[in-house]
Amino acid sequence: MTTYKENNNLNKIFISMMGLGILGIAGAFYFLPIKVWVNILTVNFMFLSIGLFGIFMLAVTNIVGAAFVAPYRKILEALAGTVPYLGLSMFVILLGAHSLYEWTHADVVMNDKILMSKAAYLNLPFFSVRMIICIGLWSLMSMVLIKKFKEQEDFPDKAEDIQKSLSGLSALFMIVFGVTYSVASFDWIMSLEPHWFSTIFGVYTFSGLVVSGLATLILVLIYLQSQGYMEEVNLNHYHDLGKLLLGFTTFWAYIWFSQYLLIWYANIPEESEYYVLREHYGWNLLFWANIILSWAIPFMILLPRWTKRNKKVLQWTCYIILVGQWLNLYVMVAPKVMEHHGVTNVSITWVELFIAAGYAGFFLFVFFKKLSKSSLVAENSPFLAEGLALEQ
Amino acid sequence: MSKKYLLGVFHDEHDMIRAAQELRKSDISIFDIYTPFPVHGLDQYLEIKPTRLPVVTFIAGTAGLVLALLFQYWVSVIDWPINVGGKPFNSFAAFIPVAFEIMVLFGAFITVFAFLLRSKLVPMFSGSIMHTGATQDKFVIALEVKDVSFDAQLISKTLDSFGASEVSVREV
Repeated sequence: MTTYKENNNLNKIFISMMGLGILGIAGAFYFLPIKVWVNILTVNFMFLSIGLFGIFMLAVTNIVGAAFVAPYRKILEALAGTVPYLGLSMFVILLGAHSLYEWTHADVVMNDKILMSKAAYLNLPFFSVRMIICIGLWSLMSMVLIKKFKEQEDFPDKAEDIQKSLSGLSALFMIVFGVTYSVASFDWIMSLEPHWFSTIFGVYTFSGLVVSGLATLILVLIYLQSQGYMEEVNLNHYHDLGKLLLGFTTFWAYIWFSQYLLIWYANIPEESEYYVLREHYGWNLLFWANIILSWAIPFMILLPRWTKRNKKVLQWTCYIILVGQWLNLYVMVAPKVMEHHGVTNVSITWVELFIAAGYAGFFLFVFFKKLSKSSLVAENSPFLAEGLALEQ
Repeated sequence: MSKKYLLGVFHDEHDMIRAAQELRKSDISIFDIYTPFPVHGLDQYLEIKPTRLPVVTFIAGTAGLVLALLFQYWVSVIDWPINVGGKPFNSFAAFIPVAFEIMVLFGAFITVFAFLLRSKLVPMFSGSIMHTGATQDKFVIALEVKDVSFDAQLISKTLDSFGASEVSVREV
């Protein structure tokens, strides 16, 4: 089967997941309102990043002319296709800006020397403008990429020329992506603690983007194959993706440690407060669990050759990694905001689970809609034959 | 003790692969294949066991990691404690970069040496090259000549029929 047909049962599951999400938001409003914004920011950012992984991966492989993604390029296109939707829902956090961001309170800023000096950048109008620019540019990139690939499908005789123009365009996209993604992570997540700063923060969130994106890609691929689609993808392709996953989980750990070590060494109060908070008050358990789930376990599992060629093992590793990456973002977002609202004890409850499920349902609903739009095989891609003949 | 080998030399890798396939189909075991560059998918015709080199790398890397951590602990806590910016003597985070480097160093070097040793590539011993063509532009299939059940004529014919440019016997 070369075209994905939407599965009604699956859509029902996704819609009920969205229902759970609404239930979770309602529950959080009732019990602990700040949790609404913390969870929406965490989960929406995570799924937006997974969508952006599609753009990133397409652009990188276009630039270098990599053939190995050609057999499943349509999945990446569908991931990129979710960006406008997840981007649009990201604007919800503007409603909760006052709860999330300390710097939106004029009285706090007035009495704080550091925040005063940052006020030219950290103010709500400029923040919103940057948000519109970032999400607008990402949506534009996603649409242009998908449109160009569509042209390639429609005009086989021009496929080579389109691929060439795509590689130039992708180079530009990479630069735009690098800058906007850094700005977005600085704005949305780092400014939750406006006194604190880390110049590597954009790279850190980016490493999480690649890891969670790869895990999602592998899971979707395994699901589609179990449904009888994409039979031409074989273990050699999984092996390649497994190696990338191993590499990028380690890259994530490397960047995590780079940020940690420098702050620990310098021991400047306004920098180290970030880790002091996270290594105390019950957060330390989640803080270390994050490293174990996102790096230690996947790294040990993915080291041997056979695990990367075994779909079951790969699947479970990807689930572990996705949980770890959720925790990664949660530990970035929650501690300081919760502390501001007088919540010092850590509590991960059904609210977290339900809101995460809701956004997952939303993301997957859009994703599979996009996937069903065109053929699953990028037939006119000049790289398809080479990509299918991949050997390890 | 010297052994005899029958060599089939090919100009083209695809011819060589087809010949290897044919030999395997008629249940003739191939001793080794020598190529000037890696050719994918050869392993399946060669009946070679998966390499154990990764195990060596893993053990060597782990040993490097543990040794480096212990050494740093001994230096900075037991033998010569120095107060650096008020940090505790046993500062685990500071040990990690060094431990990581030593792990990579041990892993890489011991793997290379283990490989050289196992391939009998040590000083004072001159290795033998089955066919010098394989170091340039030829693809060589080598079959061990056994006393029983080795039909040299038939195999030579098979190799010829797949376009072998040269079929010869060599003693090593």
